[in-house]
Amino acid sequence: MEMESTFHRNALSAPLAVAANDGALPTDVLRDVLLRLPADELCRLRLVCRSWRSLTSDPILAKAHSSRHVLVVGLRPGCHGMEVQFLDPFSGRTVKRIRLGQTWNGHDLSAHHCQVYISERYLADKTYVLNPTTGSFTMLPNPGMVTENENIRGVIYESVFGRVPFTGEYKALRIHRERWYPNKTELSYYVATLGGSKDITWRLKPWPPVRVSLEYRENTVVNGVVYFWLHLDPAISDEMAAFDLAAEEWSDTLLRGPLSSHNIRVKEQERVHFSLANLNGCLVSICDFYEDCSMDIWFLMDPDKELWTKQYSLRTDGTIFIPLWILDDGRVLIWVNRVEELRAYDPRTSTWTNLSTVERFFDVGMYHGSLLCSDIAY
Amino acid sequence: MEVDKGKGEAEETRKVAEADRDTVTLKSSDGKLFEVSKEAAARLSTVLAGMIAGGSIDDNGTDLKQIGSEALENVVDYCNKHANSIPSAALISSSISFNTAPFKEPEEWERKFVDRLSHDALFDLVEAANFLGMERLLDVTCHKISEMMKGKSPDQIREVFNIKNDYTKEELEEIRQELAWAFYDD
Repeated sequence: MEMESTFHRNALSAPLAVAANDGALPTDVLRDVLLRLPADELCRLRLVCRSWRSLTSDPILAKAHSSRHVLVVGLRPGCHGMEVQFLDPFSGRTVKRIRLGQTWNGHDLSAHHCQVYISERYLADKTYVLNPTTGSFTMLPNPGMVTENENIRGVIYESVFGRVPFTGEYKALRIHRERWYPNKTELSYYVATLGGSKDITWRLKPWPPVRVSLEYRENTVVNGVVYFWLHLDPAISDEMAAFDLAAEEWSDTLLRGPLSSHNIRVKEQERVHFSLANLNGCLVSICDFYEDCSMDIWFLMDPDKELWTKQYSLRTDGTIFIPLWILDDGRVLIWVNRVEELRAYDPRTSTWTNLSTVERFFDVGMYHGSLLCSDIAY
Repeated sequence: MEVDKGKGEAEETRKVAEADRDTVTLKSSDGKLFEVSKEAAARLSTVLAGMIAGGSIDDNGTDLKQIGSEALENVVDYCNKHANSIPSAALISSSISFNTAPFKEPEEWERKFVDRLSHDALFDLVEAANFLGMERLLDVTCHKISEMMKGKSPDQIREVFNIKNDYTKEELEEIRQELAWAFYDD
């Protein structure tokens, strides 16, 4: 306990203790100090006294805290079954784990703003909405109606979650597909508004104007719009379809991707995989030339003008590199699946930094909400 | 008239002399005087910058009644050290900026600067930095305090911050249960 004696503060020589709050620091300085601590440390500090508890539960502090602490969320098997883990990408330290208490297989994880969703790919009836603050999770009900050509046993579900700007509502777009057929044709599209009342009603929606891709990372939600790559060979086109979650309808026109809008043709012999992502609130198209070991990240600067700019061009090792976020210093945070590492790429120096190792993660995403309190406004 | 004119001239001369000096003199609550580089003081402290620009700096020592001599010595020491250090690449902000604002890590010398301070001296320095509007020094001292808090038990924290436990046993148990996740071990 050598530390304790160093920190011991003699009450007689403590003029600062008469400050307005009950501690030795002015409240604004104390807030500044607290904002630097990880969420789990802050929660433990709630045991100190009542005023620290209210300070660390304050929505304004929680919001400031979440904007300063980038958190990665992932699914990982723990010793008590599957867990959702929130971790600091810079240290790899787990800040919070939520035990799902089941040994599930084939999960999808989706994080949007301050919501986290988990779907079980092969069991149609399990999609969970997680409350990261309390650790509780609720199962979404299934659509009550079944369309004519839909046989419930032969259906698998794909879900996309997003937030409608202005109203702040969260909505789910759910696609039912044929289960047993090789091309897994879509059968029907449903939309539901999540949260609020407990009754979730699924509304049947029309099909998209063209067939869209439901594959992993081939669709994403940005600013209340779900973008899908088309179900086509991307060498032919990099156009995408858009579904507006607010109006709950498909856009009449297709949005041209960076290559077609810049008249760039991918040569037939070039191997390329396209994916879509939401990086810092911007729609990005990721062109992974895996045989050449290079990747271009294009940002959609203006959807109306179909204006895309290539902001990152980096070397890969030909395996799966998943861009997650642009850090405040301009580096891009990337999950390298094969070596289970989180890395940062600096475009100014073309150098990589290994931030941390994230072993045995099934899937990772960014979490932008708070672990301190549930009701922070965005 | 004559007298007034003479006084005005003297004032003028004094102001010129002051403007020519490249240091300012600061006086602690217990009357000790400290010299600090005017450039560094103006750059690092919004309050001192305002006083220098507004001409309210006293040649015989500007009174800082809220700051004791030990804290003021540390403030002055920090300003002088800062004036001699070259900002590292980490401090030069990038052109691509998004809406997250992580805290800047202290430089090696800043870390050493606060590491040598006693607990009381550190708390006094953070107050002085707050009072003088010294953003960077506040950053460095707050960082140090947050480092000190990591991994401490509630009892240890209460001792450091001189806080009384105002919970009942039952309340503590309730919070502990509510926050069970924060106490998980691997």
